[in-house]
Amino acid sequence: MSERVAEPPPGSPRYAINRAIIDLARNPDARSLNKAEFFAAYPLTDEERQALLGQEWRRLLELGVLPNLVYRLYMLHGLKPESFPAAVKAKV
Amino acid sequence: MAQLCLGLATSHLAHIVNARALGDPRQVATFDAGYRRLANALDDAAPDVSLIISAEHVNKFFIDNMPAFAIGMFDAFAGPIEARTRDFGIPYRKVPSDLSFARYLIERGLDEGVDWAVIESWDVDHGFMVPMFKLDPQARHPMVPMFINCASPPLPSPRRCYAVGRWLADTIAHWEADKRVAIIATGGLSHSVGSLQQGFIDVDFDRRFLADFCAGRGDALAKLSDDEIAATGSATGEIRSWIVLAGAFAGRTAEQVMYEPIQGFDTGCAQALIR
Repeated sequence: MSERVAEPPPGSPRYAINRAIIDLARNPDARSLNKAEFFAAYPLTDEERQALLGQEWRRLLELGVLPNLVYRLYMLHGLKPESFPAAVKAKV
Repeated sequence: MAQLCLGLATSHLAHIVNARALGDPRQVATFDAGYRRLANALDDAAPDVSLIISAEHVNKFFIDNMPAFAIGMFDAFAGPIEARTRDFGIPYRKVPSDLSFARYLIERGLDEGVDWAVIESWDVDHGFMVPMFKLDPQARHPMVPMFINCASPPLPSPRRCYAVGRWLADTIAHWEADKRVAIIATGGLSHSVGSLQQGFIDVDFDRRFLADFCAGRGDALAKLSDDEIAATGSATGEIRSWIVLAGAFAGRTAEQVMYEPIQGFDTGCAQALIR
């Protein structure tokens, strides 16, 4: 008898953080959800969690988040698309 | 035997249907006029089926399963997926497809050419639906959608995209159906959504790319490196669809229909036509 395993399988270094964002983006209530509570369910490093919750867009790219998902997360925060180019260049 | 009768290429950004006010009105009018010319060319050529090639924006595929190339194999599909949940400027609608053409390309590819992923149900996103709406508002032309991974590196190289285009032309020419086929490539040119370069329109790169494309120098486009493309304004890499088209019409010249660097759209908007 083997035990049933609940946690997801291991992934690449960039997998969990991208998984967390795509799951949020596909949630119909994504804009209103508490992001910290939502991301708590994912096996993220402290650095990844900080970048996600601290809106560190450039750092998210450095951590391997797909550019499309960085932009979608940005939009889910209710920010204006025309402000993205300046926001993504900012160093935290 | 089947015949390749028309090639079209166009940027596919959704601003043209849902954020038009962000663009300079004169440039937006030029983009609209270009779409009308491409739409007329499509109607005049009256293909029996069109292969429409686009990137996809992490809607159908995610990094848990990311093919390099995929084809939709069905009698119909629908989109844009974005319009399922919000007002997207164009309606969600069904589009006729051609299962026999898709199946032919897949079988030939799996035998001796391209290891396609096969999609049997697909809500396509704006990369397909915005050009299709502008080119064919009544959805009268059957379309077979083809995906290229431009979203999640490692990506198919320009050399590989060009070779797939060459393979498509040869394979279509050997199709025993008496049908006329068009190929429509969408995306680019400078277009860097989500990247550090977003907002940077690399006009020099775009113009060089268009000059090579229109002169039939697809072999030069095939020699671009992944890094070169990523470092330009085309950080999304969506110009790969244009390179496939260049391969399909290798050595043939194209007509540049329009090019406008539309700053409010963050995109070097381009269109071309191969008769």
